[in-house]
Amino acid sequence: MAWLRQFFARIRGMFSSAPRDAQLNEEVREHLALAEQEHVRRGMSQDEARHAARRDFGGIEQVKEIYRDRRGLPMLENLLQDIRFGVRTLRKNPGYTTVAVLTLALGIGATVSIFSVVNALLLRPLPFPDSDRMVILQESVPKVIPGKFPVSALDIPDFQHFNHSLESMAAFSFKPMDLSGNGFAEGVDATRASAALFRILGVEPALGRTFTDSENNFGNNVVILGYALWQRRFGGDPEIIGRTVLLDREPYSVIGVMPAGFEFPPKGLPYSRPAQLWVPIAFNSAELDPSDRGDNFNFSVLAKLKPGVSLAAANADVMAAATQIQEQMYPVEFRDRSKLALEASVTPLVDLIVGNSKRMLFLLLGAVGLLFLIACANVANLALSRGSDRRREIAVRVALGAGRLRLVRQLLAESGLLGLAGGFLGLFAAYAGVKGLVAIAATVLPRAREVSVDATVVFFAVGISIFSGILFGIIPAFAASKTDLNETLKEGGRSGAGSRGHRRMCDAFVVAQLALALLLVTGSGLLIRSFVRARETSPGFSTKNTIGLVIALPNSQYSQAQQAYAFFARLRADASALPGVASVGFSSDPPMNSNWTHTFVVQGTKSRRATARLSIFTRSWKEVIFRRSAFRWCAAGSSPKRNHSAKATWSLLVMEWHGVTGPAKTPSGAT
Amino acid sequence: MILKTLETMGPLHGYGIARRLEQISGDMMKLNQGTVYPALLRLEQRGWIGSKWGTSDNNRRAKYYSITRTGQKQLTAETENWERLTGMMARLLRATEES
Repeated sequence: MAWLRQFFARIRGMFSSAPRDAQLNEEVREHLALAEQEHVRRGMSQDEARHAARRDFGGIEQVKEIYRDRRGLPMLENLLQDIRFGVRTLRKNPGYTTVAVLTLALGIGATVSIFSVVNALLLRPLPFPDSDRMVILQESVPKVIPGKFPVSALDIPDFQHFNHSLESMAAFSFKPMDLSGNGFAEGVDATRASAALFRILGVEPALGRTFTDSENNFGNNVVILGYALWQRRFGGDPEIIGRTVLLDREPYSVIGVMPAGFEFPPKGLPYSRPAQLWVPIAFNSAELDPSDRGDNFNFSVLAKLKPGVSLAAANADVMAAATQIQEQMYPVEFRDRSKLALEASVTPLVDLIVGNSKRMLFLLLGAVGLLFLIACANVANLALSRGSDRRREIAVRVALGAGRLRLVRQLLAESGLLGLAGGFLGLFAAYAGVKGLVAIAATVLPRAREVSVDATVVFFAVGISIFSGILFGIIPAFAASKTDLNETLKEGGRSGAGSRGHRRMCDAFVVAQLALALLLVTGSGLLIRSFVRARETSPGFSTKNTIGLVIALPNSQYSQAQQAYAFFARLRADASALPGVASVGFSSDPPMNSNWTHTFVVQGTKSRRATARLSIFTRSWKEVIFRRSAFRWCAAGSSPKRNHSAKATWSLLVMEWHGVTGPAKTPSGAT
Repeated sequence: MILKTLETMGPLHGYGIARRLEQISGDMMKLNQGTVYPALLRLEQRGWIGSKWGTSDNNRRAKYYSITRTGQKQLTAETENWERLTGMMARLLRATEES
């Protein structure tokens, strides 16, 4: 405690030093007077007494010096002094100061901008309470299909039964729907969600309520609107609750509106899309068909770990649950784990959301880090060449008794000031930069809305500014403080070009700068080149003069395949009749965008199983896009020929399908 | 030592303290009197002594130092500590002589 008290006393001592000095003087004077008096009383002459008193006291100025040092905090006082001096020096050199500050502002601004994105995406928790315990449960069948995917409908209640590490689970699934009824019809991104989803996320609706557990069952036509959709289509109508809207031509009653800014599924989460509205999960009979077990992994599962359960323990637990489910619940013919083993794992929600952006972000951070280093090297070089101009000034100060460390401290205070000024400007640049960045990347970047300049970012900016000051300041400072006193003063007014060592250091900085710049330019050049290449690479079909349209037929009126077939036949006839339309075709997915993975073995071969993303398209599809196609072989016949297939890499198989009712020929082994 | 002086003598100015210290130590400690001031400052910063401006014997303004309650406590603690240490040293030396 005593040292704390002392510390505060010393801080107090730093201020109002003049009256305190006067007090000390008075005290010393009084001391001497008393001593003198005593000596006189003992029989000395006035003169002798004064001398004796002085002698006994010792060096008055030394005592005062010690006293003053002890009164305040000399380190801090020196720093303040250095800073004041630094400000004066920098103000005298506006050219140097401006260039240095702007250079640093650029480097720091870029770094801080990217850092604020990293901060929002990777460092800040998701905007849900307990988000660190939120995980996504995924299944996998490693012997058959690579990768992890969502969960089969029937497995969800089984996982709930067999696991011991999850507090709660909720299912959700992307579903494109068409919204009509009041005004024009439009396609919306809907998400089927179980009632538990909103409980796990811990969000309250802005209006109305969320789903109840009984609404999870099929046949409850209720809908929760997203804030944006509510504002746009319904004008933010506060009386919306209880009104009916048409979704896929069926009436749904609005029961709630979610608050502004609520986004679930979050952008970036695989197998989903941010929802504009939510409908109950309502598994239908086809999805709950036991023969569908181990197939149709269509439902994402959000779960919350029990408090204190580690990710590794949860993973082991759901893996064991998956084994139990397969061995106890699956149809008997699927229970043999040596043929097909169902596995499961949990991944933190935040990892799945930002997982894909992580590498890009670190790449960017590395790039701006290089830029920052270049800026520092640049300013260091400036400072170094300025140091040779200042050699006389420094030599004079050395001559007056300034220690080397003291000089270095002084020069560092100056560069620290520059760094902070640059950082301050850079922070403003970053503030603007982040806004621009978010505007550009909002569609691709997950959590883009959360990117902002917050306290962490400001803290980072201040830290990096001071760091930059030391980084670019330390070498020039030491170089300058090494000034040879005799030589410099003897030069007498001539501002020499600097010693050889000095110049060598300048050269080193230029080389470092050039190397870093080259690295950056090469890196970004390669990136741009691969981007251009990716754009130029022929996907095997021509997209010239081709337009695409996604059509989702509402289940209510097109439950039978024949109805859908009739619709597409009519659409084809009508569209073909349009002037300017050369040909019309249909496919199950936009080219190269299929999420439908199939496993197959080619007849007559004993090769291992292969998997392919599968798209189904009509015969006329090839007239639309496969004009100069590497896949022509595939489109030409009704099924791939064996010798052709052997040449393929098994990464993509496109099959032709007559109509939409069923495949003409199924390659053997398709599951 | 300054604390002890102030405890026994009551409030005292810097010169008084310096003289008193010289008297107690005899000629064993020949310090510059001026060094007492930084020491006083440190004690004051730690809150062990307080100071007040008063009038000296020859009717001039002088700063009088006095011990505070924390200072008393500190003095007691230091004294005990010292006594324990010296006692231990004494025993140790005696034991060495005897053996």
